[in-house]
Amino acid sequence: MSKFADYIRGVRVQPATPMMPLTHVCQESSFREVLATKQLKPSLCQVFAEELLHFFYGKPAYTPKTDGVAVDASGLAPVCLVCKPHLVPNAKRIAPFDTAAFASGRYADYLQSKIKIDDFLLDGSPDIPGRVVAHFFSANGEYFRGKPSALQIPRLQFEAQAYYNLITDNGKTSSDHRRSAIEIQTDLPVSIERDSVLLVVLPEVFLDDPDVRTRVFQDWSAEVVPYPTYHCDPEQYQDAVAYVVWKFLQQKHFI
Amino acid sequence: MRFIGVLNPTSITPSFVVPLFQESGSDVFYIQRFGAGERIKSFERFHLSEQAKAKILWLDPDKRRQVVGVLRFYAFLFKSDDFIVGNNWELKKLLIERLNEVNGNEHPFILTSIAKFIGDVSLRASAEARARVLLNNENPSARERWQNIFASTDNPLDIPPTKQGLGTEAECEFPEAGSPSGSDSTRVRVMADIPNKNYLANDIEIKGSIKFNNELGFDGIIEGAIVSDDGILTVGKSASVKGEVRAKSVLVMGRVIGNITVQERCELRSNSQLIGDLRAARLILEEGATFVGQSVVSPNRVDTETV
Repeated sequence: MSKFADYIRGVRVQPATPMMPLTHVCQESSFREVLATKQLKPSLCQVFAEELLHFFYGKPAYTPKTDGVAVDASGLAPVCLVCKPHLVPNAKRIAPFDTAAFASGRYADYLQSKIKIDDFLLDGSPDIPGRVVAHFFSANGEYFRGKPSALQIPRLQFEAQAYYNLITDNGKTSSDHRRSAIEIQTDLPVSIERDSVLLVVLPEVFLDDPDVRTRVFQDWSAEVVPYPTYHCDPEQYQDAVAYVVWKFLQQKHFI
Repeated sequence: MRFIGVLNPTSITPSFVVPLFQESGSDVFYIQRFGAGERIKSFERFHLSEQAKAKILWLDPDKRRQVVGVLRFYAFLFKSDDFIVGNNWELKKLLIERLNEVNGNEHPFILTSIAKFIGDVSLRASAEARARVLLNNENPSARERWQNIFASTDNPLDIPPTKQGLGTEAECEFPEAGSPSGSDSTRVRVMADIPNKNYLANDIEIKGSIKFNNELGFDGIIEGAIVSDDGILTVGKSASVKGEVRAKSVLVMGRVIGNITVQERCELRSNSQLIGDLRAARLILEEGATFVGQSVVSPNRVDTETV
């Protein structure tokens, strides 16, 4: 794996506990597909040029702006699935940030030009996200809020230092929650069975659809928090989804 | 910039939908960016796939409105291409006029959204009750979980749009870890979507009276009266009121020690407490509510001025 992976393996730290749920944010069409097939399926990832399914560890990470400028239709009615922590036992790879945001060049100012995504990739071991959280943030709550610990990174650990610079930056990436959202990838479909999904945050109007109610309440046995959609404000939805997930994780003692 | 049509991101009707805009002579789409109050701050470019473009419900060209510098737009789709649009007040008025077209038994959840939008406490209570019945009929074993729909927070979007969420990591204002039940100390909620709706959060203590117009949500502690000639009051779950309450209608979810007089409707929600006398035209008492006092319920509107 990468030098960053070696660094994480080398630090003397126990994974932060408890292990946090995995989040997956999708738009209406993808959500309906999940309802119909009872599966989350990989799709073509432009960054890695392969079929991948992405989750984020413990906090929702998405942007309503695909290219950083234009708002995308997916931001108008996001559905956030908060899934049980062990839903992806054998991840293909893990990254300490949103790789799509990295690939867009959004973090380029904070990383040396020679540093590539590959330099940060971690193996898919289930304890890896907890180790990243424990080392860089100390606890789950701090990780969720993006509040890094005060650390002294050894000088020759360029990748770890670059990551630390990124997550502690108070400049233009400070509003970008994706910089510290631990990404978990798998190339296999993930079955959504009963109790796979702990919480669904979705537009209120979806619950007027009997098929949605049957699936989320009856088949998945999930908790549901709807939000009204009259605002039509993707950034406000983004904040609302994050807030609901935060409250849920607190109630369930994940943070 | 002209309003040219709407997009329904959930594909469900009836539903609130997204107003779309274009500049004259351009095929680039925009959506509104919201500023303070009901003003449009700016327009943001909106990326639409070819598939999504096919779903646009276009306004007739001769009806497309010039909108630069005006209040933000809202839109509601009843069915197929039957949608209404307007600023906050216009859409509220139109929605109220056509409320009977929304089947509350079939669509209680959008009715809940409508009630939040138009600020109708009674309608919201009724819509939520219908939703509970619907859910309960479908799977009684999950009643507790279903109730969480409404217990989480009245409306997650009531958190200020000023980056309470993950939007600003460095300045993120989630409650401090370890604070009791995610203390609301960092949140002063402003229901910005309803301009005349005021909200006082649970970190507020008042010794003295409050007089308000239109609508007030109160979640704090007060020793004194809350009075309105024609307003709607919501006493939130965290609220403690020691004093008289007078308003047009009152929803109680917290604690009131004092007499309540309302012209129209008073609702005591489950787990609410009222220790005092009650005068109202209509009373709704939910199971689990505590009421110690005398009630006078008269179908005629109660005059709060003369009581």
